[in-house]
Amino acid sequence: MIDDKYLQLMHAEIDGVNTPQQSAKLREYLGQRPEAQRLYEELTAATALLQELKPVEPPPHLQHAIMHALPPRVQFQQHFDFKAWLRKWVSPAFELKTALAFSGGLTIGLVFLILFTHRGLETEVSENSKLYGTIGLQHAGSGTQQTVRVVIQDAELHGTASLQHTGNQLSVIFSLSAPQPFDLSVAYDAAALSFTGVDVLEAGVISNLSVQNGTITFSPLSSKAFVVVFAKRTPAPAKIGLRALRAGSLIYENQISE
Amino acid sequence: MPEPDDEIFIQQCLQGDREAFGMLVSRHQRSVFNVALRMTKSYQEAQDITQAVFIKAYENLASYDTRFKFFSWIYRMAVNEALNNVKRSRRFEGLDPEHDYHTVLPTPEIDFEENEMSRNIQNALMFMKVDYRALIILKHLQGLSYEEIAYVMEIPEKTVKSRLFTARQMLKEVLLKRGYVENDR
Repeated sequence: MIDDKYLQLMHAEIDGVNTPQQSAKLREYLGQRPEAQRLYEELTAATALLQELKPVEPPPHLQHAIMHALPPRVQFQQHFDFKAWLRKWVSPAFELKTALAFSGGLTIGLVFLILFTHRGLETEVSENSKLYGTIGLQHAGSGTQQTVRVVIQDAELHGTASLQHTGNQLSVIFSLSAPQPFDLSVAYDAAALSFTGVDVLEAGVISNLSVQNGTITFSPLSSKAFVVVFAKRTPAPAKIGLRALRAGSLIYENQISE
Repeated sequence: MPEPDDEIFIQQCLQGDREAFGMLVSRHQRSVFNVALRMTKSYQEAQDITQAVFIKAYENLASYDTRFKFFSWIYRMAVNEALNNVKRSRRFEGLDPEHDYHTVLPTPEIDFEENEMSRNIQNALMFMKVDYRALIILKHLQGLSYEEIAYVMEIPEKTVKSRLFTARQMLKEVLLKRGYVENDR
């Protein structure tokens, strides 16, 4: 498993922002960790290949086309005339305008106060299930997210996996840690869900990402906070299968449903 | 003699000098065009996006915030326009579980790449989720800083770093599977 801080040093090295001391520290680490050295070489090679993409010249007529397409005249903001504005406000109707402005401001302020202090009602129901761990079901206020959470407490893997539904987006949020490296497999019904992507939180890294036949597999290399995102094809409750493996052997298995 | 800053041309344009805006177009169209091209892999769409971006910039010039660089503002519009374009057409939105990594993508109507390698690298970019693709383009092809990317993408700088690291990882995986990066495992 590669330490988070050295992953950040790798990326900073690629960006050329490390100090000499940080570069030396990274080199020392890479010299001791073949897996980290390999990852760094792969990342460096991949980003170096991007230099193959040279800038492409736009067509010669593009600037002319743009200028020709500009609207004939745009009324830009006029220079602010303070004296004219003052003359306009210092009038027989000054008191009425002042009162109206004050009322308007007060109303807007009250609206914002109500909007930002409102809290939805929350109730929490929890139950022990026959599945491994505890399932807590939380209902947020109406119109907001629904969450199902599984707590994983095992000698080889622990943390949480949460299922979160917002609109037509379903997110599986992981926060996991383990004493040894592991691979994670997320199974889903491709007829009900469309895989959108994996988002890694806290500057973490995943590798070996593969998507085949309704199963996503990848290897978290550092911090285990990441989100697997799907788009729902149907309104029916979705089911997600979770498996953790080490060197091909199953160390954890579960299923969570909406 | 140093070239005038963008702000000078902007002020001239706001005072009614249309040709001053032409100078801004001349200065920035190549960058905008290339961002759009790498996001969409379409020479024609890149032209349309570039034109739309500069028209929008012209119409909203009075609201341009001078605290930020003009090119950052233009890039923001370019990225948003390209993102909307990709999502509207639903082409190349990102990783598609139905496609094998070795799938050959359709050839664009105008082949703008110099060689087979650059064509393959561009194809690899198209297998990335479009938001991550934008990050790679802004950082590695346009050379923007984390701070500038944060403004363009309208996300915190910390999120830029985090997602960029993930984007590089994704790109590496795609290139590995297509055989452009060696795997000594």
